[in-house]
Amino acid sequence: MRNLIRLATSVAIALTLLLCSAAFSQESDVELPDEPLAAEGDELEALEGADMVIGLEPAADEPPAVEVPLPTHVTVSDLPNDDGTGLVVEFEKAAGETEALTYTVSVGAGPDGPWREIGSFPATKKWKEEVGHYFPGFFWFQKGRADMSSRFHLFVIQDQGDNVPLETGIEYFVKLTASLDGVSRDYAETLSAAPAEQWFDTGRTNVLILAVLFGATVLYFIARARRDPNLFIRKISGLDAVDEAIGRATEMGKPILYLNGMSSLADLSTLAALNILGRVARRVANYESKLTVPCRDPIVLTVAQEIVKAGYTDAGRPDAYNADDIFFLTEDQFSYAAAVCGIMMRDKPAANFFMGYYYAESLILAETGAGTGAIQIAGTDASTQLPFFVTTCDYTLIGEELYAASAYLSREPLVLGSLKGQDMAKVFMMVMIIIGTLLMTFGVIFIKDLFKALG
Amino acid sequence: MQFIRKQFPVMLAFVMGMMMFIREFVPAKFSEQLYYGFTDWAIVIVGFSAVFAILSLLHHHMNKVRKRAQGYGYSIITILAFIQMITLSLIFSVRPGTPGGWEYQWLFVPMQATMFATLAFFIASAAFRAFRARTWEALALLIAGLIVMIGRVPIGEFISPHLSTFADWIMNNPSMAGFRGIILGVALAQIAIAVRIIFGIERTYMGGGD
Amino acid sequence: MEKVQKPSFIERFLQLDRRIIYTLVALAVAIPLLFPMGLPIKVTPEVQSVYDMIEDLPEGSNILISADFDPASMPELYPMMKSVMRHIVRKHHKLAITVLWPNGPNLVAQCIEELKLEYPEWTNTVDYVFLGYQVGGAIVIISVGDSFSDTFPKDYYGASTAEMPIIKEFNRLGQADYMVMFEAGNSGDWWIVYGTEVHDVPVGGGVTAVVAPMYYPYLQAKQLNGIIGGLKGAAEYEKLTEVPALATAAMDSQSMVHALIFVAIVLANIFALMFVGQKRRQAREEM
Repeated sequence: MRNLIRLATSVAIALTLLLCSAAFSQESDVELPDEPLAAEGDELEALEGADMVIGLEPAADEPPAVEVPLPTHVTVSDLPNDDGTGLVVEFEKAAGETEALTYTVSVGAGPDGPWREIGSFPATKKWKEEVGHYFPGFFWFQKGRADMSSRFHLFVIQDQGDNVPLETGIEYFVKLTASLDGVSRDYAETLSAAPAEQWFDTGRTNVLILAVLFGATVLYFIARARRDPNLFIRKISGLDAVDEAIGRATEMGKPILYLNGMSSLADLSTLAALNILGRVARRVANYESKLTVPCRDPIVLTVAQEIVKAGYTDAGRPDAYNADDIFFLTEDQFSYAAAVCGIMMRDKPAANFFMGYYYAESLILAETGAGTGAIQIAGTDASTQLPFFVTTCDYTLIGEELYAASAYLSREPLVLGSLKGQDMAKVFMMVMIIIGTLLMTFGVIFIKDLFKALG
Repeated sequence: MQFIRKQFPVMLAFVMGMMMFIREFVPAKFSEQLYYGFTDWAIVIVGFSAVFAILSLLHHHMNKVRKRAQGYGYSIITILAFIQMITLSLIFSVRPGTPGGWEYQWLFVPMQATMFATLAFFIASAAFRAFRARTWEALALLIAGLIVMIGRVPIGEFISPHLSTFADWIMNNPSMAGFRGIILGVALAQIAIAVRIIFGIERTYMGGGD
Repeated sequence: MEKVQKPSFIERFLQLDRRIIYTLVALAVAIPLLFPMGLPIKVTPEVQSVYDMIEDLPEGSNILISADFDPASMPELYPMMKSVMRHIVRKHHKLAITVLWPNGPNLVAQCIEELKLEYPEWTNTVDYVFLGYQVGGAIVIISVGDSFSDTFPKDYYGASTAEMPIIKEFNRLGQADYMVMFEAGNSGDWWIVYGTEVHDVPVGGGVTAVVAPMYYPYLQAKQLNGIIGGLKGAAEYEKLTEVPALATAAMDSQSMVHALIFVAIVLANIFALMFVGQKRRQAREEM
């Protein structure tokens, strides 16, 4: 009898707790177990084999009340460096915060709601440092960095719920709720703020300073080049070989094939390739050879036609220009490659130029050209295709050598000056990398943040 | 007319370039609206270029057929293939189950896959012909390349687990360092060219002479 | 009359007709497909990261896929895309798919049709939306940061996107919990620069083996959470999802071809050295 009562009491308490947790829980559906909840293991063993179990047991101890810790120093303010649709909730973590604790942020139009839940996160997430890219300057000199990753939470609100953005200038009220084991507690105060838009992103101040410095360096060296045009530029074998290639083609009486790459005019490597095309066209016009320029992009086609025509005109041979030599093939990558390979196999050009940006078809083009015995000069900033060009071409312009080509071939002071400015920027980057590596090795990490665009 | 051809494009490039540069530092709504507005226009312009491409393609091939130039038979096939594909696509679309879709799946896809597949053969012949260690640096590069080539496939794991570990180390350290150097250099060069274009020093995009 | 010297074996080997090399490559591909060897596939941390990300996201999370490839890259990227999409379907995540390459949409449509045969309850406009292709490249990426339905007013099948149930919850890049891009070119750079960095969305990459080295710096800088590289990466993901398919089947062939090229290069270098030695000896003898 005693055991029966004990069993019945245990079951009753368990059911009561289940129903209570269902009442506190907002969303969960309580599923009662199919079988009655079992008593403690020892009691079960005692019940085994008995025909009838009768027991009377005092009620088990009440489970302890759940104490939900609350955070402190909660503030709600406008999200900086945004378009006026964001608020930020910042608070110091609650004393006794555990992994099981969850924070929920709700937004309402008034101090009493109605509240719309914006988001929930466990107490182990949303530290100020990891979200803190909206807060420049604070991290740049390591102020309180340790605190930012373990003491202060930060939550960004960018909508009113249901993906409706916040409106600029309207005051919104924010409620912060802490939940632990199904028990929730609201922060005592309901705070408010109005989003405001900013006209300057302070998180990018470092980017602006570096960009202006770089631009100023380039312009300074351009101005200096105007005064003293004899700026040194190192030898680039691929560009020196351009004349040799054109001369060889002329001697053999075969055409020259020039490709501008697979990219559009928006890509700077295509512009660099067109620049070289202009110089090549001028020299081809002088030698009275044939220049074939199959294009992949129609806008590049029009620019290429103008450039070649201008090249022939500058060489004093406008009559030799044939617009049909510069033509559009197709925009499809491998169809273009197949068509160009066909041109190489039929026309057997003596010199092939592969300038610009290339994708996987680079090896197909270069290997086919190598098979025809042509001299091949490639120039690309597509780092993944460089190995293929280096293997199959006689000369390869690697990365920025392609961009330096216009300065190298023309020796124009303005262009040479910008190349010099670019080199100075590279020296600066190299020095910063070395200093930064040394500093970070010894635990001084603020220098990393100096070069990070925050936000 | 001279102003439209010579000075106006340079002014436009300067204004647009500076506007988009400044926009990067202005988070306000107006700046965002400008940004998305320009991108909508850019989508329209890129779409128009497709029309231009079609006209250029047809013009080129019809010229070849008219002049009976070398290989004009291929031009006839190109024009016929172009017309039939456009017709089928406009009437039936190219979704699976349509004639256009059938052509896509059973002609276009195998042809494209075949072209890409030829790379495997070309790589083998290019590697055999050109990967010769003529200098000590070339030898180091060759050994690294061979380790990565074998270490990144299951047979490398089968031969020795250390191969794949070493191959990963090569990819994550010296190879990445090299790539980073190239990427940094290219990025700086691109900024320099952009500065030249914005300030009108570089005018290649206009075509013609300087 | 001068006697024409027959080229030695070394010289003939060094000038081996490329058609012989092509034949050997063809055999190295075909034989393992017919007689599988079952070489072990080890999962790399980069692929595991992508898998773990999708696995650990709460059910119903928003995932964006951008399938930026065409039939040429299909052998590498199609198996990995199908594997990833199968994983997403299994985890009941919401999926939006865009394509930036004009010849890509039909491949995605094919993949969707194949997955629907495996998971008939997977519903268009509710569980997934296939937005299709839009011209513009980087411009489209910037535009989806604002709104899917504005950038793609109609989906691939011609239905209006604005009214779709999935679009009501998931209508811009910033609302994605994760993004996976399948890249055969450099549009991945645009996604990272204009897309995920701006909107704070973690991104994983499925890329061809050729462009994979280009994305490793992003992986180290934690701008990518993982990379599925090439056919081997696809095979690893198939192993993780426990559905071996095309990529797994092709691993033996890939291994054999790599081994063939390895042997050919080593032999060519050995013979080249021997040839140089031979020439030097001949020159000394003539002196």
